[in-house]
Amino acid sequence: MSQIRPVKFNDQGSRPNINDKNVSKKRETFTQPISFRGKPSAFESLSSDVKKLLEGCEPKPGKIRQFIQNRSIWLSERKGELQNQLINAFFTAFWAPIFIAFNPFTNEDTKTKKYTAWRQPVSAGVALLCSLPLTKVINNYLDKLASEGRIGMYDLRINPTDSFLTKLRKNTEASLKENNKKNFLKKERAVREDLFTKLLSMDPNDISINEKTGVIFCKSTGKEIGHSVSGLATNPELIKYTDSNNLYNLKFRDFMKKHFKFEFYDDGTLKPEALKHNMENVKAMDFLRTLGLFKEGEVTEPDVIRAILKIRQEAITESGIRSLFPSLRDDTIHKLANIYGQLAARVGQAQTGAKSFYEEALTLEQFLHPLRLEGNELQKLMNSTVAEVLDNFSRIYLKNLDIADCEVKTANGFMQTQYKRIFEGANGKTLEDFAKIIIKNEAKKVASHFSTFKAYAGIAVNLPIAILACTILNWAYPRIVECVAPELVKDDKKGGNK
Amino acid sequence: MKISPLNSFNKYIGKNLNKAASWGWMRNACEKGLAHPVKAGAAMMVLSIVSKDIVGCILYTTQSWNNKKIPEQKRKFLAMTDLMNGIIMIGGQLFAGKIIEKRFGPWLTGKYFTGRNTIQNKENGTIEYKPIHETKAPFAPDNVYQNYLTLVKNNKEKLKKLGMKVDDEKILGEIGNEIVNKYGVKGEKGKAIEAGFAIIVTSLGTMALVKRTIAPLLSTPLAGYVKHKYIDKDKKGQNTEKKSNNPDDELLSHTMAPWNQNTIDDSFKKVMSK
Repeated sequence: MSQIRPVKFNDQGSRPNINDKNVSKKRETFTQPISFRGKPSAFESLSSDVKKLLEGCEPKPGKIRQFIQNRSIWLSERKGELQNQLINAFFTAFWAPIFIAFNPFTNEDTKTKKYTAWRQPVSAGVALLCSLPLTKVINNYLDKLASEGRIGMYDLRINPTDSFLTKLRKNTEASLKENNKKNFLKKERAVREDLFTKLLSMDPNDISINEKTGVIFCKSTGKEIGHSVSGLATNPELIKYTDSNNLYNLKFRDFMKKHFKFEFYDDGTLKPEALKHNMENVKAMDFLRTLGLFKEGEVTEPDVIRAILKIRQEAITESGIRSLFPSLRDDTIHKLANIYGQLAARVGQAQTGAKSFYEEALTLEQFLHPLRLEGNELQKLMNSTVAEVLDNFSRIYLKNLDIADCEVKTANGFMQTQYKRIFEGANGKTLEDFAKIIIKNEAKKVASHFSTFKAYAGIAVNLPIAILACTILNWAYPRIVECVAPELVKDDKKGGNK
Repeated sequence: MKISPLNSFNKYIGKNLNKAASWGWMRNACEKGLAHPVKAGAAMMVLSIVSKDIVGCILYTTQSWNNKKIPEQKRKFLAMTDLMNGIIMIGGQLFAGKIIEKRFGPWLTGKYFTGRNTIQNKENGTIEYKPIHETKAPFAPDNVYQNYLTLVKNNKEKLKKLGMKVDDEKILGEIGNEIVNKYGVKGEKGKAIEAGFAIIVTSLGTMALVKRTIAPLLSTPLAGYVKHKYIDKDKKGQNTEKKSNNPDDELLSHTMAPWNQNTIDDSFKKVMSK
C-alpha cells in the first residue's frame, strides 16, 4: 500500500525551513509526482466530481468474495515471518484437533482421542509464546539497523521503515516535552496556525491524516499538506539527521557514484579499462530502470524483456535508417545500426532461452563504452534540462563516432528521436528531477530486498526457537491438560481407556 | 565523539549482516522477491513452515526413540509415527506448494478474482499472463471496462454537466484504460488480492490439507507397516517392557494401524496387567 513518507525532496534540493512562510507552497510543488509524461493524462485532467463518480467502477464482488478479498488484502500487507507463524498456529489450534479427535482410522475411545487432540492447541500456544516476541524484537532491530544505514546492502536511510519512524517520533516527542517544553509549545502554535489557515480553505472531506507518520494529505490528489504538530516536520533531530547525511542534496553524479560506482569528475575512471572495472557488475536491468522505462515499483522480468524488445523494434536496422535518412553515408549508417544492435543482440540471446536474462544481460559499461564522455562535458549537463541533455548526448555520441560535421545535423535528428522515446515527455525536467526518480526507484527496490532478507532472517532465527518450543511443550502439555480437562487424565490413571 | 559499546555492537552486527546480504543466493532471492512478489510470498511461507517441520521431525523422533520411560515396543512405534508424520508433512507440503504455485493457485485466483492465469513459458522461463474468458472475476480488465461503460451510459447527462467529454470516443477510451489500470488487476487492490489470495490458497493446501489432515491419517498405518517390516523383524518374541507413567504413552493409542490393532492391543493389555 502506498504510504506518504515524511522524507521528500524539494525543488531546491534542500530541506525547507519549517518557519518559512512559503514552505507550504514549496511543499506542494515538490510533492507533486514527478512524471515523465509531460502533460497530465485524460483521467488526471478530469474534475474531482467526475473522478468521484467514476469511483463507482471499482469492482464490488459478492459477500463471500468480499470476505476473502478483505482477508487477502490484509494478508498481502503483512507478509513475513510473523504472519506465517500466525497462520500456522491458527491451523494447529483449530483444524488439527478436529481430525485427531474424529479420526476414523483409530478405534480408540473418545477420551483418549480428545487427550491427544489437546496437544495441538497447546503446541500452537507454546510456539506463539516463544517465537512471536522474539520475531517482533528481531524485526524491529533489523529495521533500526537498516534505517540507520548500518547494513550496507540495505541502506534505508533515504526511506526508513515505519517501525523505525514511529519509534523515532515517540522518542523525540518525549524528549522535547521534557527538556524544552516552552519552545516546543511555541513552535507547535506557529505550525498549527499556519496549517489551520491552510486547512480552512479546503474541503474537510478531502483531508486525511496518516496516523503513523503524522502526515496530513489531500485525499483526492494525494498531495501532502503538512504534518500534524507532533509529526516529523517539527522534529529538529530528523531535519538535522537528513541534512548531515546529505539526503536532500544528493546529486545525480553522487547518486551514480554511490550506486554505480561511477565517478564523473575523476578523469582516471573515464579511461575504458577503468570504466570497465567499475561498471562490469551493473546489469542492463539497472540501466533500463535508470532510464525510467517502467512505472515505479512495477519492474518485472517480462517488463524488462518487453521494453527491450520495444527498443529492438525501434532500434532500426541499416536499411531502416537509410530509408529514414537517405542523405547519411553508408559507414555512418553502419555505425549507428551497430550501436542499437548491441542491445538487441544480447536480448535476442536471452530470448532464445540459452541462458536466463540475468546472466546474459548487457552491462551498463558495454552500453556507455562508445560514449567516452569527457568529465567537463558531463559537468555541464548536470543542470540542464533533459531535452538539452539529449541534444548534447547525441552530439557527443556522434562526435566520438567520427561522423563528418555535415552529417551531424541529420544524424542528430535520428538520435534525438531514438532517445526521446526513452525519455518520453521528459522535456522541461532537469537531470536532478530525473535523478530523484532514480533514487525513488532505487529506494523502493532496496526496501523490497530488505523485506525478503528480513523474512529469511526470521526463518533462521526461529529454527532454534522451534527446539526450545518442543522442549517446553513436552513439559507443559500434560500439566496444562490436567488443569484444563482433568476428567480426561483422571479416567486415564484409573486405567479406564478400555 | 564518544563511542558507546552498544554502538560498536550494532556496527559489528550490521557489518556481518551485510556479508550475509551479499551472498549470491541471497541477492538472487531478493531479486526474485522484487520481480514476483506473489510467488515469493507464498514460497516463503512454505519454506518457513517446512524448515520448522524438519527440525521438529528430527527432534520428536530422537526424543521418542531415546525416551526410556516409554516401553520399548511402544517407543519404537511412537518414533516411527513421528518420523513418518515428518516425512509426509515435509514432502507433501513441498509437493503441494509447488503444484499450487504453478497451476492451481494462479488458476483459482484468475477464475474468481483477477480473470488472468499466469503461465510459465517453458522455452525462456518468463512468466506470461493468459486471460481467462467467460469469467465473472470482478477484477478482470474486461469486466472493469464494462462497469465503466455502463456507468458512463447511465450518467451521461450528469457527466456532461460536470465537464466530461462524453461524446469523444478517443478520450472515453483513454479514461477507460486508466480506470482499468487503476481498479483492475494491475491496480493497488488487484495486486494485493493476487498476493494475499495466493497465501490463503497455499496455506489451505499445505498446512490444512497436507500437514493437518493427510499426514496424521496416513502416518499411523505407515508407521505400523515400517515397524512391522524392518524393526520387529529381528526382535520377535522380546518383551522387556516396564510400566510407564509418561503421558506420551497415550499418543500410541491414536497412532495404531487398523491392521495390526490386535497384536498391539494384546501387548498393551499385558503391560496394563503387570
